[in-house]
Amino acid sequence: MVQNKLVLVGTIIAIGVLMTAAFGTLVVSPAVIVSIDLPNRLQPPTLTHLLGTDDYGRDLFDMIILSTRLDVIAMLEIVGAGVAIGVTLGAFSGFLGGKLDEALMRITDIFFSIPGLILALAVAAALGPGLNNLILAIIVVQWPGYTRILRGQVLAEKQRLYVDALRALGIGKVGIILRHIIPNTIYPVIVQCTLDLGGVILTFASLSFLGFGGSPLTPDLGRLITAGQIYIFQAPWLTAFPGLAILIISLAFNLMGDGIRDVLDPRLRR
Amino acid sequence: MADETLLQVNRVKLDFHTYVGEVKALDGITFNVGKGEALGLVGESGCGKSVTALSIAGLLPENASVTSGEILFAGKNLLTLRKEEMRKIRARQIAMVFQDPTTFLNPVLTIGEQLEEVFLLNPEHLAAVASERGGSKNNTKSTLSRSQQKKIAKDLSIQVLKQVRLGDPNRVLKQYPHELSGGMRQRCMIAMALARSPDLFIADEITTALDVTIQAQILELLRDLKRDFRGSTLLITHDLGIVAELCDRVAVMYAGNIVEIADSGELFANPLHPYTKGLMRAIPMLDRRMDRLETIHGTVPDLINPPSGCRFHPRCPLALDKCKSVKPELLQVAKGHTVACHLYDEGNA
Amino acid sequence: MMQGVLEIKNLKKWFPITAGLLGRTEGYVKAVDGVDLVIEKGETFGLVGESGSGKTTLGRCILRLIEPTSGEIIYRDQDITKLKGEDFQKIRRKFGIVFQDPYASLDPRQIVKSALIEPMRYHHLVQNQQEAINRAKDLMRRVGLNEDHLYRFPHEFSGGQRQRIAVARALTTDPEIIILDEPTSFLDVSVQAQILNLLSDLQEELDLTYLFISHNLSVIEHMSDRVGVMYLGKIMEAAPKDVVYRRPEHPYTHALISALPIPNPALSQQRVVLAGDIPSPANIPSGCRFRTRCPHVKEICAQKEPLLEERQPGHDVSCHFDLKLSSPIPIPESSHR
Repeated sequence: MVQNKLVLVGTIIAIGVLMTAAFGTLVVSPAVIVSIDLPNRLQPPTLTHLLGTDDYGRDLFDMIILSTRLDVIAMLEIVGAGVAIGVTLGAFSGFLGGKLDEALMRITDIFFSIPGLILALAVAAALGPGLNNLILAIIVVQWPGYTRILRGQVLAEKQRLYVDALRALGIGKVGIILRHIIPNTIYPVIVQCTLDLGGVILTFASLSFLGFGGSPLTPDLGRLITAGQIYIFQAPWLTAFPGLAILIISLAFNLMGDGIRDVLDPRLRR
Repeated sequence: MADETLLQVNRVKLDFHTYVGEVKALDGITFNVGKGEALGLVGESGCGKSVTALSIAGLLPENASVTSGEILFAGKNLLTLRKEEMRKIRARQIAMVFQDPTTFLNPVLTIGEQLEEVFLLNPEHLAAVASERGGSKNNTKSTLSRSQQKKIAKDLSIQVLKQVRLGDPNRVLKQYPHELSGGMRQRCMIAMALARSPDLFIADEITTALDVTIQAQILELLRDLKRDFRGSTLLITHDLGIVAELCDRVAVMYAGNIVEIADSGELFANPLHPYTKGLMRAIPMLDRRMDRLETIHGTVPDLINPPSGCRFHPRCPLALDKCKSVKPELLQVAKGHTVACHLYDEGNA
Repeated sequence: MMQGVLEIKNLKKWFPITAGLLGRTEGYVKAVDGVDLVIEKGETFGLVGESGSGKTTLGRCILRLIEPTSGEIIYRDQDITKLKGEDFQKIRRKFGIVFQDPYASLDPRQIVKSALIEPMRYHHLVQNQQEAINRAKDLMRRVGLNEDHLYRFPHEFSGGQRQRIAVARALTTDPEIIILDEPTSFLDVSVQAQILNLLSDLQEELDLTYLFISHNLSVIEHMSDRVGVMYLGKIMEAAPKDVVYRRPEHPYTHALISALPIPNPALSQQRVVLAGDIPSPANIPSGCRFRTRCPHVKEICAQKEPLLEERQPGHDVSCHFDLKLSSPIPIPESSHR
């Protein structure tokens, strides 16, 4: 039912990327990261090294595969945690209401008032270097959005008659929230998070490019670009290919997200 | 019984095109409304009574199509008229009032403006009133200026609001629909219908949404208006009590068919069709004491795949073999009493 | 004699009307404004009223789905308005409720089996899943549905079937009292008859007590033992059914009953038609709240609000006068068809 060829192409690429992330290490050994081959450094694309080599002589194609893997895993962790936190907070806050709900809304307001990238930057800087800290920093930026979406849905859902029926049966609030409210309201969040995947990976790569995040032992696409910057005139492929990879991956997930939204949207209009 | 027929509906079949299938909403209905009489069209939800009214008034939705039959009114087949002609008929001769006055009163116009609009649709009538007042009989609509027309329209508006017993009509004219209660809005709708002096007044469940005591007010009003109203009424409802009070004759509908037509008293005293009998026994009524209500087994059928033959046969306690394959026609069984049921076919009765 | 199993004393529910930037309370919508009533064990108490009467709000207050503003609800010698948490959850089990809208009262994502089992397991009324399923099957049979319907979703059922499921669900916790809030208003006449018969049968089998709330006077007359008539948040009259329908003493009851169109053209109806509209519960008339429409109004009615008093045993009326009103229904009591 995909009317848009672009969406189809994007989805296929996205699935390919996910496959790479899952099975990449079967094809490319992580040992590549430490396999230094100085005589062959900074080689342009050839038949043996399809995308060329970097300043340590490592095959760029292999490096990109390994980096993609890390980026994708980070992206999934970020969105996954963001959704988990956002949904839990949003559901309980929205359903229980009161002063706690008010407070949470003001807190999310504060988060919204700062542009995402800047906020992530500030948090990452505060937390210090390290891959996990970077992931944490972006999670901090993501969760308020999901909280807001879910809370809005919950406010509407809790007015529905079956909720009264469950309360009348003596079922407690926690039970109602977990077994009924969340399953009935989670659709828009799922749609939103598939749309977010592309953006998150972009944010992650950007911050990594700026120097936050991992070490040379845990390369990701952003880092590859940082490393390749110095050689931009001698070996432009070192920045071009990782950059292209980020672009394609981000675009692919965006298109896939659009496709998912188009499929699920009619069902949202209940 | 009316001597002359105002409206004749002949074997009208109507389908709705939906994405789940063709809904065979009307299965060849035939009935008539005489001049000056009040006919009640009674049935449960989904039986097609509202659809029938909309077909007569020419207000069917886009996805409905009449596949056969005719609706004769004042010598014309309404189904063949163009939209513009049908609109003219709605402006003068057929007036329809609906269940929910809120959706059919314009919220941004005052009651006065809306009534005025109705009167201005009929300039000949306004001219006639003007000439009566002026004492001369030579006025035609071209000689009445717009402002003169408006003045007469306003007077007539007040008159018609008084007729529907709205206290302080001058005030009501300036009010917007949301400032009035449900009962008052319904009266305004009735007023707008009467403003046309229509030949046919169609009322579709007009008291269903009202509280009991407000409904009583409207029923009293309708009872009194009936005395003065010289046109005919088609009253659509699911409430047998209202039918007993206001209607001369009653037609009972089930799943897109008319199953029984009789004079009001005769129908209640001597219902013939098994559905009519079942309906009367299923409704709790104040004048009867029953421990258990008799139920009609089963549920209303799906009109995308309606039962073959008589559409009531799956639920009928007296179904014959014939009922499964042959659709019964409306046959006269007694004076003024017709039934569509094989139990009353010649030879069986 | 039967004893009162549920007693409501001076129950009020006022909804504040806020306005302005600071949310000042400008007034109140007095949906329930001091209701007293007693429901006896095993009976069906019919609560009837028009828009603004407060009958639905009262039903919700009893289960504390809406918290009452003041007053007492006494169930088995306990005022349940004061209970909290666990204690109140236990009491909720003894009540069941069936709502008006069969399309909205079930979670659309739950199959029937889960909907029935959930309350049983939550309250630990069964030892294990198998026992729960057996009970669920039994309940489905009782309400006239098949066992394999347990594995379907609500949208696969008709309105009447969904109400049956709602009844089955109300019975899962073994309640003593069931509140029926317009249970057949959304259903076709023939389906309504099925549901009403089912409710009557269940009442006999399981010794249930019903509070039947409806605006439909015929249904109330058919189902109830005693009837309470509400107007603008208070009970105007409460008495056994025959008394309310044939020998009412409150002018509102009289007008209400006579307003009903009788499906018998042979009988001419002398209807009492009330003037005016029902006032808003945000603006209740002073003194007797019915005075703005009462055909027998006198001066005292604006000054003093009448109390609900027992005029004869079991017959409560709230009116300053002892009006000798004619029978609102033009049929002698002994007629049968």
